[in-house]
Amino acid sequence: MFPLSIESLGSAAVNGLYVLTGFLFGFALEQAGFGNSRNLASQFYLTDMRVLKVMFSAIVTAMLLLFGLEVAGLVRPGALYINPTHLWPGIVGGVIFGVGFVIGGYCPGTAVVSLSTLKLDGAFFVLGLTVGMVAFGETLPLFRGFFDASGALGEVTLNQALGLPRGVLVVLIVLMALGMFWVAERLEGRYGKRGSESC
Amino acid sequence: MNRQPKNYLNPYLAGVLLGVVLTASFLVFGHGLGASGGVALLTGVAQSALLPAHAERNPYLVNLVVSPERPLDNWTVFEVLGVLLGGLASGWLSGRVRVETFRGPHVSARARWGYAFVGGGIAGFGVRLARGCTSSQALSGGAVLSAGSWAFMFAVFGGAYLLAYFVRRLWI
Amino acid sequence: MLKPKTLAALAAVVVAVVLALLDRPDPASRLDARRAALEQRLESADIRVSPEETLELLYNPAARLHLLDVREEAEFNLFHLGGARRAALSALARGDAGAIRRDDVVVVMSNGEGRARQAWLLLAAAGFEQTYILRGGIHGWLGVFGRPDRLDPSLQACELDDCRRYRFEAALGERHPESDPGPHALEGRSFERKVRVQGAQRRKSGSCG
Repeated sequence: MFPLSIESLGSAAVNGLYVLTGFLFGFALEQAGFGNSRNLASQFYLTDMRVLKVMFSAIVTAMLLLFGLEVAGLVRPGALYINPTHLWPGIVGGVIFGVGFVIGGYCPGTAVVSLSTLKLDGAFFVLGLTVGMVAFGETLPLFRGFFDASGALGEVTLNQALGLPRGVLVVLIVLMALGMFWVAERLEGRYGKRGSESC
Repeated sequence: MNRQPKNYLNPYLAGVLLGVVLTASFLVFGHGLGASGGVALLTGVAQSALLPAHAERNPYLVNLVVSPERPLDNWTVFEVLGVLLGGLASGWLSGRVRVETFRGPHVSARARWGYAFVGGGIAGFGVRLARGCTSSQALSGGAVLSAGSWAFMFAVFGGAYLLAYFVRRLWI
Repeated sequence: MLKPKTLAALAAVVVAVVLALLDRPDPASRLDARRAALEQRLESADIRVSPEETLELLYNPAARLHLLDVREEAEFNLFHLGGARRAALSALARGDAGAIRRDDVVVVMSNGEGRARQAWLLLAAAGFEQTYILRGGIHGWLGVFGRPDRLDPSLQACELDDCRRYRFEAALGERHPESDPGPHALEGRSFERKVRVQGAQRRKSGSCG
């Protein structure tokens, strides 16, 4: 039955598992070319749509696997962590983050990967992250109410929010992702670089 | 001798691989991946160490740390460490470990460093406000259908696409 | 022969549709399942601490204890445990528990266990795993540490409505001697300990936020 009870392994083993997970994560990201800010930024100029392809392939894969395991009764219902919804801070923060993403060329995970392969722009991005986070912590009292309570709906899933059965939403997401992939291929064909670094 | 770097992996394949790692994380730990949390905790701990009196009066910093006796003993830190090692391993195996600066053709390296820093600063703020980044919110929250995570994801793409035209000189 | 990409795409759609069809028709969401699991735990003795253990925890600086009293302000002002803080159930429902860290020990209390049960559900659902109910509530505490005449048997005990069975002459809050009997009151008493203090608590905290 998943998720596993790993507390009995002891903290050293558990921490080791976290390092291993991060290792596989970072490895996959670098293999996808996400340690390169030009690849990442190209997403927003429609010349290289790999960000969309990787992200939605990952989400659909995990979504189907987890959903499948739960339907098969191998996952305890309610045991998987669902990010609580804070709707407006999430949206405003998302837009701000998107702006930072397209200016800086990275997100936190990819910046760490970039740093690991000695890219200086990645290093500066990580430094910037630090400063931005400190700035957040220092200014938070100014908008504490917004951050804590605005749109604080708790653990709400998208199907609950839309009033759909979960299975229907899963099918819709798969169809949406496939549709986006198809559009992405077309856009790349039209705007993509010739002889680029993509596969 | 300049070793020709290997090609990147097919993005769909890389995505599926990432999705498997993400699934494994849920099955083993009960939760998904994370990156910004580790950076945030390291930053917060460093700030508290440098300015302890101020840190004690800042509720954000106080609540950031889950275990005050061992503040860095948190899964987010170990996972970020793993990401660093994994990125390095992949880069090394593929011949991509090299000191360089990725930038658009019309921007100098120095300018690029500045933009990376500024972009990081803005992103750092946004990531804390949104309570997560692409790994923890978009990928992990997305896979388990969290409504807020999907809203975040669309907001990120929206914000980035809207601004892209205005900063195109940086990249194309 | 279909291209591998098309094959994969078709497979994904088929899998999604099959799973959607196999999914339980009962619309019980994950949230409800979680709630049900928590409600089961609510009846268990594991999440209840005795007044004796609570007093012991109060005098243990390593415990990082929070005493949350979810009664009305008037009841709180009449009598409450030394060091207890009042928390409105509505605030807890909003996710506002004050500055409590996930690893901290929280003991919730009301007159009996009525309102404390609700508080426990709210806190446990919010991820505070070291949350406990004071067994018997204020009545239980006074039964152990209070004056013999403190609890009035003629006053009705109503667990679910959580009404009052104690009488105090003056609203002294925590200045009553029974608010804090002191650690020597534990001498000669044996009691079960439920709370594990200073263990390496593995916190499943999940997100970056």
